[in-house]
Amino acid sequence: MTALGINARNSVIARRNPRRAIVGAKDKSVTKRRLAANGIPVPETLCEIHDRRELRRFDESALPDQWVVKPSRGSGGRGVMVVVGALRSQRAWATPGRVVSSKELRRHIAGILGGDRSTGDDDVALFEPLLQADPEIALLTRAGLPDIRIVCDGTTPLLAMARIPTVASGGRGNLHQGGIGAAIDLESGRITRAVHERQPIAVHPDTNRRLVGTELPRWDEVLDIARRCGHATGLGYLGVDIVVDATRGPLVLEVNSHPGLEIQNVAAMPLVPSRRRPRRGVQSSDYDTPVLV
Amino acid sequence: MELTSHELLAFLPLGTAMVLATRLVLGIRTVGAFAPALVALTVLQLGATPTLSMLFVAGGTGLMVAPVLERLALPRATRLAVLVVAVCASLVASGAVEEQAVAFPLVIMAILIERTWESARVDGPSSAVRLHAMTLAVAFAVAAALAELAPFVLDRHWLPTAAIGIAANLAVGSYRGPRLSELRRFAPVRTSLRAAELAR
Repeated sequence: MTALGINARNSVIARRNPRRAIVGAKDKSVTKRRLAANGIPVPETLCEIHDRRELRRFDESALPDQWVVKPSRGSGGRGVMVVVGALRSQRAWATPGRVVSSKELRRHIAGILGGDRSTGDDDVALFEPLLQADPEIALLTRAGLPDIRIVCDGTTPLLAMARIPTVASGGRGNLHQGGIGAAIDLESGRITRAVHERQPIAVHPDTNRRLVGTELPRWDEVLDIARRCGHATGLGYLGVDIVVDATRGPLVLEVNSHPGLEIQNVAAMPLVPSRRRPRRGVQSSDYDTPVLV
Repeated sequence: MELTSHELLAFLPLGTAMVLATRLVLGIRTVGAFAPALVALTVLQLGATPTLSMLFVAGGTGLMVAPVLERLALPRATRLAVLVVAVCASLVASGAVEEQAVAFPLVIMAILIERTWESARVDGPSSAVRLHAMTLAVAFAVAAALAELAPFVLDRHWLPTAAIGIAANLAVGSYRGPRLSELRRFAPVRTSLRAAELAR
């Protein structure tokens, strides 16, 4: 047995993920609708801006004090703007590190609509409330929002890791930008191993809080949600990104049709997905027929 | 090297097969599969120095224009169109463009410049420079390999060459084994599996 390489992973994806499901998964707005229709919790959508006409009519004063805007078809955190406070008298917004004027915000949204931050030629700007991590998870870090990535083979979770931001990563959980990867035992929800800058660590470098051995809250719910995402989106092999929100509990942030392979280095275990194409008409006996939207 | 359009087209599948092999077997990251193959054909057609000077002028102009265009908040298609025109104008004005530069990938070049700007902003300039240096290195290596094959193609065997090129693309494209670069990348997994085996 050896680590799953990119060529082998792409072969699995070609067999297991239908084209239509991949296109849907690349669009956060479509994915959210599909998941919500199947009873899977997702962050609330505050509003969507589809074109420049809607942007001209957009009333930003209706937004709450804390929110996030992202391109619906973006990836790798590109184009995401996090707002942590409203400066309503100045018609401006506070983001981590600087104040953004209303004009700058509209320019950012225009960039999203023009396809600046996405793979296509145009896109949709998606507004969501700023999530707050469950207090037990929030204790692990000083900056940003930790999330949980679970790679699933249909309804079977294969590997799981928490992506924990650091001050050096600028609050982002992405491992290549300096975030911490923490492998999670699927049975217990306990962190078994943590990696930062490709080196094993036991404590968080910013908080000195012990990572290895920490048990994540609401693990059974997280796992159940991850198991149901493939069925709802039509993907046979997928990565599910989940945030445990302080008030709403586990919410699916994103479903990835081409999950990265670095999780293997974090867990020090290989991904072993089934390479068989599912037979037509066969549904998982555990879940109802998916609602397609 | 003087190449007819038939010969150029015959070389293209061979070039893309070589680029695919560097990506899928060796694991060298390049910007797309076609850009290095087209740059390799330009090298073959014009020689190394004229190609480098064209790339230098086009890339330099693009990297100066890209941030200005970004500030104007134009749609992506408009931005790319302006970038292509700016790159064309700079090549003509500087005299860097050669009459024989049929294969020079002008539109791909504009997309590359845009991607360079984007990847420099997201992953840092050093990562973008490394990626593009690797793309150029692969292009020049492919050009050298194609030059070795040139006598066969130039002997008017362009049709069988194209057929061999297509077969090579299919063969390399269906490779599902590990990439050479992954031997190092997944070393922690290998070490852990070996330790587990020894413990058993």
